[in-house]
Amino acid sequence: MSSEIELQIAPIVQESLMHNSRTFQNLQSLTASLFGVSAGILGLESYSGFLFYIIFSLLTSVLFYIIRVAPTSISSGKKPLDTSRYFLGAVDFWTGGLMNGLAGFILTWTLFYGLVSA
Amino acid sequence: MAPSVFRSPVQLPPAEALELSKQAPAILRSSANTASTSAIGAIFSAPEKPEEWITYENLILSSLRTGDDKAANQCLARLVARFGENNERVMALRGLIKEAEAQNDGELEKILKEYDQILSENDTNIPIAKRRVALLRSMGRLSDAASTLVQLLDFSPTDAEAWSELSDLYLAQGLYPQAIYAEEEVLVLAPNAWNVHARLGELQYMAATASGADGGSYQKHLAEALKRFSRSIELCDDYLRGYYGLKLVTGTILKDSGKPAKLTDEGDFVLPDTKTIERLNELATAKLAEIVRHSTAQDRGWRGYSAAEVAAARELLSEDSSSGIVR
Amino acid sequence: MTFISKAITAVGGILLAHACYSAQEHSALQSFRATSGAALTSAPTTAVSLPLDIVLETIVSTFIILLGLVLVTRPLRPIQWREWAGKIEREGEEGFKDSNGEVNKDYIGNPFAIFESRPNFVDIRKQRKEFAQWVKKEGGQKAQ
Repeated sequence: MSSEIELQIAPIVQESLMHNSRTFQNLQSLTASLFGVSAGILGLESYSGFLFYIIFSLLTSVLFYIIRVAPTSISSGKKPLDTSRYFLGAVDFWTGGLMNGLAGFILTWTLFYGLVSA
Repeated sequence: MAPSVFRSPVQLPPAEALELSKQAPAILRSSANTASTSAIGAIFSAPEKPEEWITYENLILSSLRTGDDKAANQCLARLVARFGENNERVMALRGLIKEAEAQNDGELEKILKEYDQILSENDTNIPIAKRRVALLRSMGRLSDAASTLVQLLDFSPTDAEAWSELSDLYLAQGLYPQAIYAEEEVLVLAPNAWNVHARLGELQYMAATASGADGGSYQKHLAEALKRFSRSIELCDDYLRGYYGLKLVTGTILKDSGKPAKLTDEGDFVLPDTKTIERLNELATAKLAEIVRHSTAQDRGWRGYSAAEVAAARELLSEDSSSGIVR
Repeated sequence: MTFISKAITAVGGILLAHACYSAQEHSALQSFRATSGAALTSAPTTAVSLPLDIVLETIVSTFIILLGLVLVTRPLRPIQWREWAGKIEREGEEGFKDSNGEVNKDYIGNPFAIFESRPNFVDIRKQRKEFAQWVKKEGGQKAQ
């Protein structure tokens, strides 16, 4: 109830929210395919492939934070690692990309694994 | 930087409008002359962009303003080729061009009759109805315009632009309560529009300072103005207009705080205590000084304010400091 | 900015393609050795893992492309209403540029400004008169 009142007092701009999440999702699906390529080249199999994916997509989030979010968000008085200036949920920001790009990752992973080691 | 052709040019200063209308020949030349209406043609021609039509509409407005009727007519011809003669917006634009070209009152009367004719055939033609209101206003028949607009609002009550025009019409006639009511309707439709909040604050302030306001309503208007300006800066950081109004209102309230405050028993918003108002005044002064300083220095990220507004703020600040010495 | 990030992505792409080619050659060599070597020695055909330089090249090139891709993303916009509105008022067009320096096409300034400009109600005759006066005044100033 109180959060509803708060939203009335300080509304959220839906267009900006969509713009931001679309920008981030585009990046995630692009990079997921890229990670699939490298995992295939390295010839990773089973768990190590998924581990590779998890590490690199977390790295994507960190890089995106450092380059796009941090400069303006920290200067406007937010704490480090706080993404609330541009995104609603923090957990969503850091781990949402994992499910987002998984299909693309597996596609290119298997493709390049087959191409390289065949 | 040249102003964008995608935005409405109505409020641009004259120099920028001139620059915009100078772009008209180039834009007309660069884009294809005919819009194909047949299905086969549509497949082969380049895909049409919605921006193109907005561009034409804005070009018509700015070239009419600068007196370039030829370009305006060319733009209109393009729109007619695409949307047909009977499109409502196209009809309104044609009326606009005729109004601009009219030389005397007789011709204006004729255009007004044409509008009536169109409306008698189809009285839901809102663009033409709006033109009719604007024409009546332009001819100085303010009360006619207002009553026509009220009729229009009767069957399209969600048109915020029309409510806003109504408020302005009432203001032009000095009817503050009505103007405030109409502006409040705009806020109902667009509750987060920070400039409308500021505008309503300005209306309340004008109503308070206008002669004939007695003690009770004077206080009430000032309290409302204070509330509106505060909301506008709550919705928009560093809003020059909001802070300007806030400073003006708090200054006025503080100046006559010696008078006994009448308690309104209507249960309306009551003025906060003097201390709060003083703090608001200080905040507004500090913010205005910051904005003026950054904007005069052309700091990066502070170049969005219009020069006239910054100049007005600077004047208000200097007035304040000189009167402070006297006090 | 956009040139730099595109160049970074391109360099990474070339490196990654090279790594891919090397890995492919490596595995082809392995299988050739396995078939030809089976006749000479009876060593078991163990899959030799990728050489370290190819592994490093792959990871480094992935990282470089990642950096380039992050750099070309469009700048974000604040989602809090007051921050977003403040950005529009304070920075104007400047705050809404794409990564290649052009003002965004869908940027329309304050979306509520039409409630004050009201383009459908424009009094074109008054605007024309004002403009003519402005031109006269400007012309007078220039003549002096």
